[in-house]
Amino acid sequence: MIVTQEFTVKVNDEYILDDVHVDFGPGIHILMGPNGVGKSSFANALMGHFNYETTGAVEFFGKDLLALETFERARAGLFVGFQSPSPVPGLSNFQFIKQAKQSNGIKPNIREDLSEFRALTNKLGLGSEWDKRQLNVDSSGGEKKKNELIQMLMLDPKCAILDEPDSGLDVDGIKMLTEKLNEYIESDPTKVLIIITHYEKLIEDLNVSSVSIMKNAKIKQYEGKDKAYQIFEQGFSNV
Amino acid sequence: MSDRDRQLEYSLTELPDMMDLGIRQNMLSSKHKHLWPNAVSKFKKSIEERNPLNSYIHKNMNTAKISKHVNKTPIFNTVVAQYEDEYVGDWHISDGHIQLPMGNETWWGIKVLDEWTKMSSLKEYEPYFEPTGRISDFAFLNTTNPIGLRFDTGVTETCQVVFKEQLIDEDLSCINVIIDIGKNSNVTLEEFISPKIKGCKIIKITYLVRQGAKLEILRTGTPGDNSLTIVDSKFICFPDSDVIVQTKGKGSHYTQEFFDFDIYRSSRVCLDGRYNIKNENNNHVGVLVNHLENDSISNIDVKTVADGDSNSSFIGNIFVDKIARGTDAKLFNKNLLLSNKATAISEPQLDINTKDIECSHGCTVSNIDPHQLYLLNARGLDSQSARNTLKECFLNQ
Repeated sequence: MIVTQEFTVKVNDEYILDDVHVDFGPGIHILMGPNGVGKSSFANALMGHFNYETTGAVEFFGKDLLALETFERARAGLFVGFQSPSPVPGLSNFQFIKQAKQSNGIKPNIREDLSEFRALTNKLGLGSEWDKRQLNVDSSGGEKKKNELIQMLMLDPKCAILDEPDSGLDVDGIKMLTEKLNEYIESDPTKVLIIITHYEKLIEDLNVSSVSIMKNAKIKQYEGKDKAYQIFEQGFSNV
Repeated sequence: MSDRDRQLEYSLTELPDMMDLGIRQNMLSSKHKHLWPNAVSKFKKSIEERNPLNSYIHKNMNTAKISKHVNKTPIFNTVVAQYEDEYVGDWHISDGHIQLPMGNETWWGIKVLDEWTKMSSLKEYEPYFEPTGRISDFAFLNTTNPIGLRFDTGVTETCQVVFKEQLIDEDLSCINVIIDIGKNSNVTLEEFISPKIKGCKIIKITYLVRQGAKLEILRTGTPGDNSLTIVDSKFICFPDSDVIVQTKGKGSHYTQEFFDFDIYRSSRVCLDGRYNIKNENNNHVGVLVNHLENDSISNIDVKTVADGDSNSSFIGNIFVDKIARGTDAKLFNKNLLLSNKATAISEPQLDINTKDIECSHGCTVSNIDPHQLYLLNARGLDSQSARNTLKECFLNQ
């Protein structure tokens, strides 16, 4: 679980979040909000991005998240699927996974890991040479999203925050995404999945526990997924 | 200290005034008087006119480190050569001497050129020696004996070549070696440049890559505390020849490496340099590419990672002659700085004298990308592992 109290995020003296209290328990949570409101910043601030100044408290499965370095947050089980991850020329997709698994204390088994990696890339329609492709170099938006999903599935974190995982995906890609997200959350009843999205079909196909709306540096949390449908009908102006 | 232990101390700044004194054998000694008279005269004149340490081409190369270094030569004692078993399978090159693998005196397909070998034909190489104004001019004049290896026409051979001194002393070591690759031959040289501990070593290598020949060099420079190593490689690329050089090093108290390519018709040169410099090490690289005839290709890619208080520089020059139509030349130098105290200077130069060519160049000096670092941290790699990974990625691209 991930619980924030008096959580404030600032960048260049501008408040992205101000005194936010939210509680993401086990299950799937949707985070919505108008464009530019700072949803990605919320995810990055939790991950410990160097641009953000944070105060308040964030409890992450019993740990004080804000006291941890970025790599310690990852090792504690937090995963952020980025909207536009940086390209790293010279580092192959599989090498990256291998190093990430080792760093997270997962005993490497190259043969099994590669087999799992290739099965996932095959299912997601990425090329057969995807393991050798350089990380996020010359990749389309959709390919980057699929790659982030593969990383999440192979690292199997306690809590994943996915930033618009549906963008750039075609109909088959969305279907696969939904299937994989359901598999992920059903594999362990304590897992937390926070998805930043405005895609109605994705929300419809997932078993959503809560919908949170981010606006004016605040986050308001609503149980179930009804609030999302209200937003689809009426927009954010009435929230 | 007894008289027998006395040493003469000198720096490279003082060396031009001492060459005639006959402190030790060199190219001005009577022994070598008739070998390359014209070349010796030209080099002597050039050094007397201007000490290579002060040459403009070294302006970013921190040559103060060399000029301050004190070489020590024994006045009376003779230092005994020490042969090491670990190089028994390698070609072993030191100042004035070549040792063949396994103690052999001859080797099929390769001829040793030195003063002891009959008909060594060293004399015929005089036209290939012209003063450059670089520090390696000292190596030409101050070597105890010029040496060389000549590969026969059509030979295919892989050799491990170790440049290591057999004399354990603090005197200047100068190697002037000719590597003559015969027509249509295919030769790979795995070169290991060992430092001279507490000493200065200047190596001048002249590679003649004859028509239709292919030469591949895999060079590794071994770092050494308090050592100063200068390696100047001149390549004469005859028509239709192919030269591939991969070199890697970690610098040292002072390391300087020059590559000077004369490229003739339809020949191809590819140089990949990878340097990983730490602590207070120095590493300076110069690449001079001269396209002298038509339809030749050059591809230069030099990368340096500089950490700690290290100091590195790169100077690259592409010259395209007016008759060198159809030239395709690429020159790239990238530097990654891992610390605020490390320095890297990069200077590309182009001198194009004809049209109808393709030529591109680029030089960069940058720090670790914080966004890449964040991405790796966010997947659990701690800062040191992430930095090491990014460094390796940079060098291996």
